[in-house]
Amino acid sequence: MRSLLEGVVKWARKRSPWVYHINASSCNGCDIELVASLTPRYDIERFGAVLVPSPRHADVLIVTGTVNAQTKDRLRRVYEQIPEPKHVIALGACAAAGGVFKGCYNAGQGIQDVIPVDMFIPGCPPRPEAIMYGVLKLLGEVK
Amino acid sequence: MSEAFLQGIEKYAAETKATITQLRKGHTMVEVDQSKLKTFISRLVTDASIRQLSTITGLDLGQNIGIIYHFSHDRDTLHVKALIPKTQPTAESIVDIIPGAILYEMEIHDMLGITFSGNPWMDKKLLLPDTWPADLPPPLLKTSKPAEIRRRLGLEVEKK
Repeated sequence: MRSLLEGVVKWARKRSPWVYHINASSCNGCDIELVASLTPRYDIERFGAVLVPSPRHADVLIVTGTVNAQTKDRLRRVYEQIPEPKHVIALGACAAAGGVFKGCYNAGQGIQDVIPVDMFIPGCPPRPEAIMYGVLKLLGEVK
Repeated sequence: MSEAFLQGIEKYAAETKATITQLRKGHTMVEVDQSKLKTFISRLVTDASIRQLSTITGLDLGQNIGIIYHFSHDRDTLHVKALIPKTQPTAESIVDIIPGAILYEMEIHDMLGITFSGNPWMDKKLLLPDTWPADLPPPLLKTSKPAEIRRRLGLEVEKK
């Protein structure tokens, strides 16, 4: 009975990944592309992905922008508020490796130094198709 | 820049021993001594009615730090430049003449370490992170080391 319930929950989770988006000092380019992937033209919601306003309701955390001293601890706190099981997507070049800000005095070398990352979506900014491909690939990995 | 307007500037410049250079059409640079800077700017605002301060920029020139006040007037731009020695990085605030300069002065204070006497927010930070250690040099000086600052801010992580 228990394993059956777990199977149902897993099935439901795979079909409705609720997404929380956090901007860790992004230039807003990736954020616009993420919003574009929610619009009717691309409509990521047909795969069940909904943008939620609270990290406590989320399954997937999408992070844009590189971390800096101001956002480092806040990003970690938001990550800790997401219930298990959780997945993190680093969206864009900045979140993956620092991007154009790499080497600046107040820029990190990617969010994987702060929180564990499951999926990197490269691009500056990544196209909505790339974001959808990444989210769907992540769902395929969800066991 | 109109003739009458330029003549007015020349008069104030003579009073404060400033030098005028025409950079290109519509752009005039006035280099003024640090001690006369506030007098010159107050003359501009009260007598020449140049009130729109676009921004203040700062630059590291080795021995000195240059601060340039950019004023807009119709289609013309007036740049007022002063040199602040690095050994004594203080300047007079113009907040009492142009209140909007408060944020520009805070930015110069954060990035290049110039203290503007008379600015009421000089003890606050504008752009630097809250966890900025007080003993670190200002980040935009040529002598500051980004890797060292990152390490102190906890942004450099040891790679395994």
